[in-house]
Amino acid sequence: MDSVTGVATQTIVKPKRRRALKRNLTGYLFLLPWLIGFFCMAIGPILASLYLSFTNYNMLKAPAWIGMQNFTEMFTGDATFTHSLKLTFQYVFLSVPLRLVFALAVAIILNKGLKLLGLYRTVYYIPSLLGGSVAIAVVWKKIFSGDGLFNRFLEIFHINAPDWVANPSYIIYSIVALSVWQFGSSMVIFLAGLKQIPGEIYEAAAVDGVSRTRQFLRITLPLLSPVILFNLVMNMISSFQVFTSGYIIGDGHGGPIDSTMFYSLYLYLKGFSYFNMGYASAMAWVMLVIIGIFTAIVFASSKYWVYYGDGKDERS
Amino acid sequence: MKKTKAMLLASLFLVTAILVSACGSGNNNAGSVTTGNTNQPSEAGGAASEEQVELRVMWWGDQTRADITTAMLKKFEEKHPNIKVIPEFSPFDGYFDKLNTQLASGTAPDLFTLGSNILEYATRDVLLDITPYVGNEVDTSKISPQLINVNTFDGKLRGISIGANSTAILANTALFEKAGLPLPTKEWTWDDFIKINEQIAATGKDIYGSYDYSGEMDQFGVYLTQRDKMIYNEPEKKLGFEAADVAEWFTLWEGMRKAGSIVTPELQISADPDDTSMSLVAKGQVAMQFIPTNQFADFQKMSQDKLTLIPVPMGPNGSMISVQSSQNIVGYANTKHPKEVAMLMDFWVNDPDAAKILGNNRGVPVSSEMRAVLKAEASETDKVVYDYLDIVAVDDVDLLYNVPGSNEFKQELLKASQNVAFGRMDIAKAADDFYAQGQKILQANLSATTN
Amino acid sequence: MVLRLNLSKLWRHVVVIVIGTIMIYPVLWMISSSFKPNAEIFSDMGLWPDSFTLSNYVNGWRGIQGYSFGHFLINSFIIAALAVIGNVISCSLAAFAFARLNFTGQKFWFSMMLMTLMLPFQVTLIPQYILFHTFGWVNTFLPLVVPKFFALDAFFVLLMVQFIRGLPMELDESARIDGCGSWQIYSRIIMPLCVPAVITTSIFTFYWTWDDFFGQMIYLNSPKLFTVMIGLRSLIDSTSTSNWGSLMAMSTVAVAPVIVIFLIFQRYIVEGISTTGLK
Repeated sequence: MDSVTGVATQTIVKPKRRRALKRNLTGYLFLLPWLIGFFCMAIGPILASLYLSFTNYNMLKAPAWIGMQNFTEMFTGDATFTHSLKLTFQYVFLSVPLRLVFALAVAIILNKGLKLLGLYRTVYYIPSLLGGSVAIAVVWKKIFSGDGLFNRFLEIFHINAPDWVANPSYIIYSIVALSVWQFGSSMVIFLAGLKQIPGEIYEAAAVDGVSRTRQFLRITLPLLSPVILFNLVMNMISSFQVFTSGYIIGDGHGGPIDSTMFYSLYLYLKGFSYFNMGYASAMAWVMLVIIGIFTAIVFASSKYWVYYGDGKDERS
Repeated sequence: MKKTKAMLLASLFLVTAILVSACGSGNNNAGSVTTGNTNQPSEAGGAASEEQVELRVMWWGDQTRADITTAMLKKFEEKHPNIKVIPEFSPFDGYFDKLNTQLASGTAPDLFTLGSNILEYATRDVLLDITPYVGNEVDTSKISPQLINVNTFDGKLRGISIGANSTAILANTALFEKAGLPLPTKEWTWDDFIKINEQIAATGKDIYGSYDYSGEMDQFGVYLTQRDKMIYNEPEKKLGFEAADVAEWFTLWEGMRKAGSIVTPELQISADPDDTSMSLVAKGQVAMQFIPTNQFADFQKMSQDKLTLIPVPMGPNGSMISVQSSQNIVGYANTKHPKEVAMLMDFWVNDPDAAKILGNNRGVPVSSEMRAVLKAEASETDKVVYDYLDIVAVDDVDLLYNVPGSNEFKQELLKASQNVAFGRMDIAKAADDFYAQGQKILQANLSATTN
Repeated sequence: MVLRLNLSKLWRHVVVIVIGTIMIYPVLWMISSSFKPNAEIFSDMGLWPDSFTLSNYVNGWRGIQGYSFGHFLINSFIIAALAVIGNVISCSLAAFAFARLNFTGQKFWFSMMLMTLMLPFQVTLIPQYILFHTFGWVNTFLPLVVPKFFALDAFFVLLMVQFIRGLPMELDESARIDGCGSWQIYSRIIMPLCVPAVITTSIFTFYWTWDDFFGQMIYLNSPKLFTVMIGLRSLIDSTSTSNWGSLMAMSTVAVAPVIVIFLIFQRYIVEGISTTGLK
């Protein structure tokens, strides 16, 4: 390393163009693994699925072009499509806020020094590890069925609850519950983010006499906001694509009476069970647009509430 | 700057090194797909059996079936040393996703199992035509014509049945005894069915006569054929029933539902009758449910009570139940070794060693000779199944085809029946809605397969 | 003062324990079912088995065609470990590029990366299968592992981007003044401060890969290569008897390694490195 003066002189002398070129080169070098992956393994299948959405591909024969037919049918002739969209939206707006709230609350509680902290963290995290577990689905159905543990517990308070896994009007709540039960993964991410906030800031605030609530609102939340944004976006994207929990709690075909017919499940059935992969591809791209719009909205709003340490707040 | 680049390149090398080692370990583990084939194209009718041939075989099931099928395939290899069989077992969950993916990419196995959905694949031209090999590589003379016809499409044989079964009613004899009722005989009718359900349900608070089959396409199909109708009229390529028939079927079950003699809608969903560990018949709470006969032994294993098989109630035409194919073995249309595929099929259903290894796991052997071989050593529970099949096999029943798009079709019927059961729709509307949807599905699938 | 502190701590403990028990109950039920015979699992709601048996473990361990469940565990472990290494290296590189460097087209590539997250996997499955088949990778671990070395798990790229962006720019600036190149900033400054994010990435990658039934099922044909997830689904067969007892037993066995790994590594997430270290 040269002395400070030496480097500075060199930097001033370098022409702007060369600096820009060097910047770009460095950037692209770091990005190289992703670029290779993207072009070799991702872009092909993505473009193929886009093409298939304009065909009547049934997997077993070569696809034939049918133009916009899939899309028009989706929006005009397919009641199940509309239903699955509505159901998915219902699920997203129920489960995402609940998960985030639980995850943040528990992360904050666990962040303070507690004995056996590691054990508690693990206990809260274990449900997330069992995502698609068939065994857990069976257990869940047992607990939430008409005469299951949950309802027996409610009976103590003289609440007569419906069958949460067999009654089509209520089954969505047990699926939301399953998703919220698995808040552990979001919680872990919040924990990591909380740990990155330097302890000194809180100490300084305490010395200045700032109340705990204000500490939370003025220190924790803003400094945690990049992580909150991340968890919000990720939970939203994955909730829009909910598949496994609906599949294993329902009858695997969206039933009873389409009460578990989430968008991704309908897409999967259309593609693989009903031999209409072209239609399924069209559905996938519609979902991509929907998720894209919502993600863009969230990112755009992030200007107002997300604070970055790198000072680049206006960037999304 | 040089250091930056050097470090980056170093890390890229590291990544590549890891990749190469992963590739290396991967290749060591790779099951061969197209290795080591020094095949000459087989001459028609020539002695082509001395070349090394590899066949990939895929089937679904659980551990037990995996073990016995592999053992059977090994026996085949012993008898045909020039043929190497690569077994590819897959759990039922995801089997068809995997199969469809492989078919879509042109990499399907040489042989694979299908169920009654063989129609979907036959009509999309991905199955090998076995007709040229009948009488030579594969002998179908001992297989009942029913089972051959059901796998014949447009005059071409597309698969061999590897298990015969039938539909029966699983009955819990203890509940019948408690109600003081004799077990129904072959001549009982749907009216008898309704009465018996009422009587059994009256014996206890959470006791029911039967599960609710208003949403089950198979049972609806039987009901229709008993009245000179059918789900799908294949020669004319149209539905063989009217919305009014659906309404009649729904009304039949709604009556029993209101009387409390059949299982409640919620219980129907949470205590799945098709699952041997959840079935309330096995548990002694419900007296009757429909099952495919090859599952009888499994249900009996899970039950404390004595279970038995009784025939399906009769309609004006009789019971119209006969022997069906529970599973089929088919060949891939693009296989490189059609002769050997046919040979394996023949071994599967006609060889006594194979029959002994496979037992009744997929249903009763389809060859009358093999049935005789196994019947001699059958257990008590298996004898119940054999006896039942003897009763129904005498009926000469017309061939019934699955409606194109049957997966979707089934779901729509189930949905409509659940709408009625949960009180969300009245019967007339549900029946009309379902009928309209059914027409739509049929048309969509007909046009998709005539391309 | 001391009393107040103890009460608040006590209250905290109580809340955490109560919620924790509710959280863990379904898992406890699964474990206890693994020790009950099949017939008892659905009839008995209690946690303590009436008739304690190990047969479910013995039966389930048998595996398929001579490959025991232990073999499946090893396969799952190999795939998961490789995936972790791949993700940590490639995603951090890409995240650094997006978060700290400036280059033309940056925003464009960022949105492309986001897009890969938003497309449901079912529709890229077949084209991807055909692609990997052309590479000759079907029936190997490669389709499951190689994409991880190329940052195709956009989730982790985004995770690390957000973490890195939380670090003050002054760190980089002072490093550059000291003459550090981008690589040094990445390796000596940013990455060490991202240990929580790296550990999180590792843990998530591990158990997502561990739990990936669909991908493994599609690409692995020989039982020799089967993983834990495939082995589990082979215990259920809707066309014959489902072996619930063995399913519970093997599900317990399947989730144990992941829990252990989490137990070991989770404190690294929280023993973050104080930013005073950068002086």
